[in-house]
Amino acid sequence: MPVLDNEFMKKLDQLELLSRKVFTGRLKGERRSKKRGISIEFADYRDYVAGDDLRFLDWNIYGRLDRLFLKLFMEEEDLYVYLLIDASKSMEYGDPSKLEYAKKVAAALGYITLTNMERVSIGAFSDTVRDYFRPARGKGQMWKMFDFLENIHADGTTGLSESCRRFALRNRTKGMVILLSDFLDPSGYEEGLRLFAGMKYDLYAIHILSEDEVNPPYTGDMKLVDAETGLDAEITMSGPLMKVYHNRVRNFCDGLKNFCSKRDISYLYTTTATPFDQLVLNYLKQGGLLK
Amino acid sequence: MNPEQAATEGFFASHFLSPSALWWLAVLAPLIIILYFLKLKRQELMVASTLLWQQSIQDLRVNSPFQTLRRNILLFIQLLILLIAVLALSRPLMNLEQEESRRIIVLLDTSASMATEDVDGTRLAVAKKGALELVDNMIRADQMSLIRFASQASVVSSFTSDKGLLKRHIEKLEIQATDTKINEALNIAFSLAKVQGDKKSQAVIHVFSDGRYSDKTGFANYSGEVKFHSMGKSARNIGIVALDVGYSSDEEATSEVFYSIENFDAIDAEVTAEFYFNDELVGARKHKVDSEQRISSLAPTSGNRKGVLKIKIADDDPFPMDNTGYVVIQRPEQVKVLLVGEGDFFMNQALAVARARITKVAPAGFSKDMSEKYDIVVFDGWSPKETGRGSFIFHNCHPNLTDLKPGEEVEGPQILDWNRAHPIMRFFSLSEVFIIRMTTVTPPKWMRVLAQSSEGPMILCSEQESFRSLYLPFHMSTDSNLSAQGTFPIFIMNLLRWLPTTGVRGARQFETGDTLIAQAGRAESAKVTDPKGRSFTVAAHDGRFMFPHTMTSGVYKVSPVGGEEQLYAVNLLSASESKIDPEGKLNVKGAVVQAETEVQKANREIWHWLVLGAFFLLLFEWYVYNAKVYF
Repeated sequence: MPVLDNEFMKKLDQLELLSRKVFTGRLKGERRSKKRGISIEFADYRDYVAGDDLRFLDWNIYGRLDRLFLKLFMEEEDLYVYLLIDASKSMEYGDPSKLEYAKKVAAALGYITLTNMERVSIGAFSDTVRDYFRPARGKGQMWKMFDFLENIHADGTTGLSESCRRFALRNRTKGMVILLSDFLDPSGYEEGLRLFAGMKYDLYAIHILSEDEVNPPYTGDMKLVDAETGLDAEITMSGPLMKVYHNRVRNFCDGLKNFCSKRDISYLYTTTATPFDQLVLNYLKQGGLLK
Repeated sequence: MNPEQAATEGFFASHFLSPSALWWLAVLAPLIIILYFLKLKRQELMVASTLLWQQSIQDLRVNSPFQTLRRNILLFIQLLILLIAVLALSRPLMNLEQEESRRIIVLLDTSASMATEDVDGTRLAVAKKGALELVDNMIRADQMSLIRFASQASVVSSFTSDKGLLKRHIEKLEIQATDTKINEALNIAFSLAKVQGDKKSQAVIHVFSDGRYSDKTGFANYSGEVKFHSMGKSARNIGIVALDVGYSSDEEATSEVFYSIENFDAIDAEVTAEFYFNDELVGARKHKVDSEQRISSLAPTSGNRKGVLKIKIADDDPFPMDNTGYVVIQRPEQVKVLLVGEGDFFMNQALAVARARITKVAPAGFSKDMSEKYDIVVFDGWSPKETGRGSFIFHNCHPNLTDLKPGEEVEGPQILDWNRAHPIMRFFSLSEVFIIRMTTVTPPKWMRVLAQSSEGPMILCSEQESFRSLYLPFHMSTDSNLSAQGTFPIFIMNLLRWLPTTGVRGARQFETGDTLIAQAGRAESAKVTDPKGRSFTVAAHDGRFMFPHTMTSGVYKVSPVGGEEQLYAVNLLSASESKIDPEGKLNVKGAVVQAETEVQKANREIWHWLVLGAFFLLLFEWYVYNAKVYF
């Protein structure tokens, strides 16, 4: 259930998303914009040109210097926050499932966004973006958003690059992109992430793995079947195999982390064993996503 | 069948009790291999992604050149478990010794000396262990018979292959505190061994004993194998070997208890003899007993009081059974003698000295009913046609028996030999006796010749049913100087002791294994309580109670219904048993069988070890399977 309890929502009310970049919004918001606008915060002066609004002339300067200067103020606009949730079949595993976990994190982040009068948009993808929650703003959209999250189900194979491409095409307005996925894409995660990074989004990758994937509880001879591809792997559980597997998991996570840091993407790793509220209230804060 | 084939089959038959079980190997091994292949259809499990697993397997394969071998280790272990389990089922034997089915006769000595504790437990315990090992060694068609022997031998189990039954029989065997006679046991064994006549199937006789017997061993003609297992290792023993009570012939009839202690060890010893009268310590005495010597002494007198005197050697030795002796002190009743005829002067005097109560009657006044009322009836120079039931002395006359024909009178026969061991002849020598004349006698077989002359038997005795008789076919005074011998009163005393059957003799002393005989009087049954406190009901027979179960030394109580309680002492008193020094050989069929020096080699079944091995292998397999360890 992605719906958050009241107690937790109260805690979230204190938080706001922290973007490392300043983006241009569409509506007046609470976030500093690149544009000079009409907020009360002074930014700069410039020479008056015909046609400027006389209300912004600095008459004091005119009195002293006999020249017309126009006061420029900071423009404050809203922020676009895109939550991109991996809803492929592989996300169905774990207890709680990775998808459930991702949905809860998305719900929390979405709630924070709406609370702060930012604009939130959500996409659920597998091989491509399947479901889409149009950009919404204001707390009033909260239930609608929760409802949308609730209806996301795991299905299909992971196609990270295609999904990222589609999402980027659809959302031209730059903003924060928070990608929640296990990144277990047979064709690789690199292309998709590279695309977002190249399009100047402020990208956050939240890497979610289930506890069973990190420490498999299997014994004996097994035939593991891939939920997405149907490919199997015949294994005989043993100490050395376990060791190799652990190395593989570690290398995979480290590889993703390195890839992200090289491209100015914030990376955060978690497993479903980490309590969700702890992740949101502590780790995301420490990771610089929330303040 | 060619010889090679026969040899192969012989090998399996001799190394396995159930060689047919090996066929399971042929059936099950392929099955396991097939199942192993089936097993390769692994348990399927859906996972989020096999991406990392695929990579891990690749990594592992690169690093493990013996991957294939490792995959099969479980199969190898399973096949090994099967092999061991099937081997266990086939009941293999180690150290095979015999290839044919055997018939085994075990003779187990349960006599008193087997209670000696000079080995690991008693000698009997060790003998039982040896016999049980033989039972364990039996294979399939082997049969065993078990014979126990002490003073008597009995077949405990006839030939059987039932190991459980044999073991139960062996375990039940207990010590019988008697001396040892092996002849009877050997004779039974030989007859059992020869039952089937076939020389090849002659039984092997195993004798478990310490080799001390009161009879001479082995005269039977036995062609089979006899193995002697000697039990025990110590000779250290000091024991009471003789014990008797006498009473002074005066009116007081003071008791005198005589005892002998013998040291069977090779080292001199000093022992303390303690005396208890009715369980109360009345004295103690130190005796120095030199090695292999016997000392005799009189116990402190208890006057003419009735009771039980216990003599106990206070020092410990491996054979405690002969360290205690019991004497029932009870003044005997006077022996009632009916003298039919005049009687010989010397005999009359000797009877009077022995405190016999003599009643005289003329031959004409005798009737056969009178015999039962007297302990002894003396027919002097005359014998009736019918004597009635009783104990008799025929002096200078002949019993009227159909199978006894007195011959002619001869003069000057020479005494050739006499039986010195018989109770009548004890301490009485005939070396200076001469006979002027006597009647020759051809005795029936049941009569025993006590003295033999050149003209035939001159002193005879008989024992029929419960009655005993002495027969002198000459006059002891006028025809010989028998009555003039200095030891003649001893002869009469011996007679007074031996002839009356029970009771009046005051015979309260028995040896273990003897049949205890008590006068019943008018009682029809009695309760007999043995020293262990066990009670038996005994019915009267011919006016007597006969109790044969005297295998324990101690005091037996006989309580006739409506009568007075009588006490009887039963003692081992056997020098042959007390001499516990084990004998290393056994004489059989004139040959000597040396004791088995080597520990009996055993055909032990090892299937339980194999099952244990299989179990540990199973654990190992479990470990390999679950503990994620490769080897």
